[in-house]
Amino acid sequence: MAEVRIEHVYKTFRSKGKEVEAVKDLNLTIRDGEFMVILGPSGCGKTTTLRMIVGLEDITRGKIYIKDRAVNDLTPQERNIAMAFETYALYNHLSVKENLLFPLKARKTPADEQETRLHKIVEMLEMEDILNMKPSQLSGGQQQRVSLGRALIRRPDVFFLDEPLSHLDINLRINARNRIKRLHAESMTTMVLVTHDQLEAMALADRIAVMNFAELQQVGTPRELLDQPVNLFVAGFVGEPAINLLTGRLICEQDEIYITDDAKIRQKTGLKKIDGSGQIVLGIRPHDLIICGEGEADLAGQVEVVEFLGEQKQITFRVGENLLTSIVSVSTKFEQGQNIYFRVRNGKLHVFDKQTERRLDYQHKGVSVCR
Amino acid sequence: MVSIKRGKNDILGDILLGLIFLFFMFPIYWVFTMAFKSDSDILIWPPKFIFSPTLAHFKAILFNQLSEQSVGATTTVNYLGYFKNSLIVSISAVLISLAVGIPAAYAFARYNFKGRENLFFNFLTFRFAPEMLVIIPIYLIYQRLGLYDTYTGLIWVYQLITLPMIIWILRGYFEDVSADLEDAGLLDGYSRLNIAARIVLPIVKPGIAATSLLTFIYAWNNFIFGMILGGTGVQPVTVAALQFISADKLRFGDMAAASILAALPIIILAVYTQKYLIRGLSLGAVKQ
Repeated sequence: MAEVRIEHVYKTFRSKGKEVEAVKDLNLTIRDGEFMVILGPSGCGKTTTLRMIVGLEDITRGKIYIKDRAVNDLTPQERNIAMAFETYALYNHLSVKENLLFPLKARKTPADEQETRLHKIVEMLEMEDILNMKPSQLSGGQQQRVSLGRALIRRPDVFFLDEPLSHLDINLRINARNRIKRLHAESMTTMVLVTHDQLEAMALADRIAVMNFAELQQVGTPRELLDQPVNLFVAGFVGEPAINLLTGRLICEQDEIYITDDAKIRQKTGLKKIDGSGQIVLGIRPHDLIICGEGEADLAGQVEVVEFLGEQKQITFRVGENLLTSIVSVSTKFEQGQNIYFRVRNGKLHVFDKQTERRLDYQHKGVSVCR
Repeated sequence: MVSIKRGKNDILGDILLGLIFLFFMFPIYWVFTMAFKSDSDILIWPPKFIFSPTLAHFKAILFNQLSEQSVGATTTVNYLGYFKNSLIVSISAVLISLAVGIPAAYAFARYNFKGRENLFFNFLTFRFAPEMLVIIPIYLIYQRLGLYDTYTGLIWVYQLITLPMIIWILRGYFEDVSADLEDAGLLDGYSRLNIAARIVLPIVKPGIAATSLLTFIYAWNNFIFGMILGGTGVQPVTVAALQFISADKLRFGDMAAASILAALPIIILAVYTQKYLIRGLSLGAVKQ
C-alpha cells in the first residue's frame, strides 16, 4: 500500500550534443490503492515517467516519493516496487516456476514462504499446468500471466505495468484486461499502467493521466476526461469514436456573446468579453448528437455513410466541408444522400480557443460586456 | 514453358555447384590420397588414381618407425609432441580471450561510453594487420623479453587472432539479449554482476560455444606465429610438417599424413558445429 508523489520532475536526454526533454515539470499524485493509467501517444514521455518511478532511469530534476520516502537515489530493489514489461521479459533459460521464484531468491525469502507465495500466485493466475514449461513453449497469453505473476509474487508496494496488453490479440486482450482489473481489486495494491490505448485506459483506470509532448495534459476519472477535456488534444485523444471538431467563432450581439459556426449552432455563452481573436473550435462527441426535426436542429447535413455496429449505427454525414460522425439507434433508417438533422445534447458542447487550444469555460453566468 | 526453363537452370546450377565443390575439395582429396600412397606412387607421372594404400607414413610420423620408403631420412620428428603444443597453445589462447573478451563484448553491447565505436573498430584492425608485417618487431621484442620459444609468448601473440574475433562476434549475441531482461533482473533485486552471470550468460551460452569453436579453429590453423616465435619446443603441428623437408629428401608422404592428422580435429569440429558457426558468424560480425 503506498502513495506515489511526483513533484516537478524533469527528464532530459542528451544524445550527440542535442538535448531532448522527455518529461517536463511533471506533478502527479497516485493515491494509495488507486489504479492510475498514464495515457498518451508514443513518444509522449509516459514510459520514461514510469522508468523514472521504478528506478531504471535517472531523474534529471525534481523529486519522486513512494510511501512518503524520496526515492531519487534508491535502487529499484530498495523501492520495493514491481513491474510487468511490454515484452514480458521472461527468463527463457528458466522454467515458469523458476521465473516466478527468481525475485524471491534474490531476497533470500525462506523456502516455506516461497512455496506459500508460489502456490497463491499460481492459483490466482491459473498456472498449474505450465509450471514446469519453459517460457518459449507458452502462448502469448500464458507468457503475459507469468510476467504478472513474477511481479506480484514479491508483494510490491506499487505495481507498474508497461503496455502489458499490446502484444495480445483482441480476444485475449479483453480477457487479460479483465484479469488485471480483478487482480487490482483482490490485491488492493496501487497500480500504475502505461498505455497508448484509450479504450484500455477507460476500462481499467480509476483515474487517467493524459500526457503529450512530454507534458501532463490532464488528470481525471474517465468520465471527467470525456465531459471536461481541458484542451483539444485530450478531447481528440480520448473517446471512441473520436470527437467531432468544427471551427467557429464568438460573436457579440446585443450585449451577449454567442458561439456560432458554419452550421446553425448558436448558444449563449455568458462570457464577459471575447479574449483574443474569437476564433474557436467546437467539439461534439458522436454520442451527444441527437436526431431531431429540422426546426430544432443545431446541425443539418447529408448522410454519407451508414455503418451497422450491431447494437448501434454509426452515421457519417457532411456539414459544409466537414465530415462528422454520430452514433444513433439501430432502428433509425437513413440512406446515403438523405438530409439529416441533429441537435447537441444539453451542456455537451465543448468549446476550445483555436489559438491556445484550451477549453473555454462558457457556462458561468455574469454581466456580458462586449468588446 | 516457364517451369521447364526453371528446371534447366536448376540443373545448370547443380552442375556449377558440383564444379565448385570439386575445385575446393580436390586439394584435400589429393593430400588425403597422398598420405596413403607409397613414395614411388606419389612421384609418378601421369598421377595414379588407383593404387594400393599403405599406412607407412602414419606409422612413420606417429611412432617414429622409419618405413622402408623413408630410408635415408636422417631426422625423426616427434609429431605427437607438436600435437600437444597445438592443443596447449590454442586452448589456452581461446580461454584467455574468453576471460577478457566476454566482459569486453558485454560492455561494448550495453554501455554507451565515449569512443566506443572507435575502440571497437580498433580491435578489428588487429585482424587487418598482415602477420608478416608485425612478426619481425615482435620477434625482436620476444628475444629481449625472453618470451621466444615459450608457451606464454605464443599464447600471448595468439590473442591477436582470438580476442578480436571473440569480441566482435559476442557483441552481436549480447546485443540480441533484450535490455528488458536486465531491467527485469534489476527490479527483481539482483546486482549488475549477478544479472550478467545469472541471466545474460546462460542465454548467450550457445553463442559463446560457437564463437569459441570458431576462434579455436583459427588459432589451430595459425602457421606464421608458431614458425617464427616458437622453437621446436613449442611449435604447433602446422609448422611441424616443415620438419619433413630435410636436406636429402622431401618426405611428401609423411607431410601429407601429418597434414591430414593436423586438419582432422578441425574438420570434425567444423562439420559438427557448422550450424552454430554460420549463426555465430552471421549474427555477430555482419550485423554491424
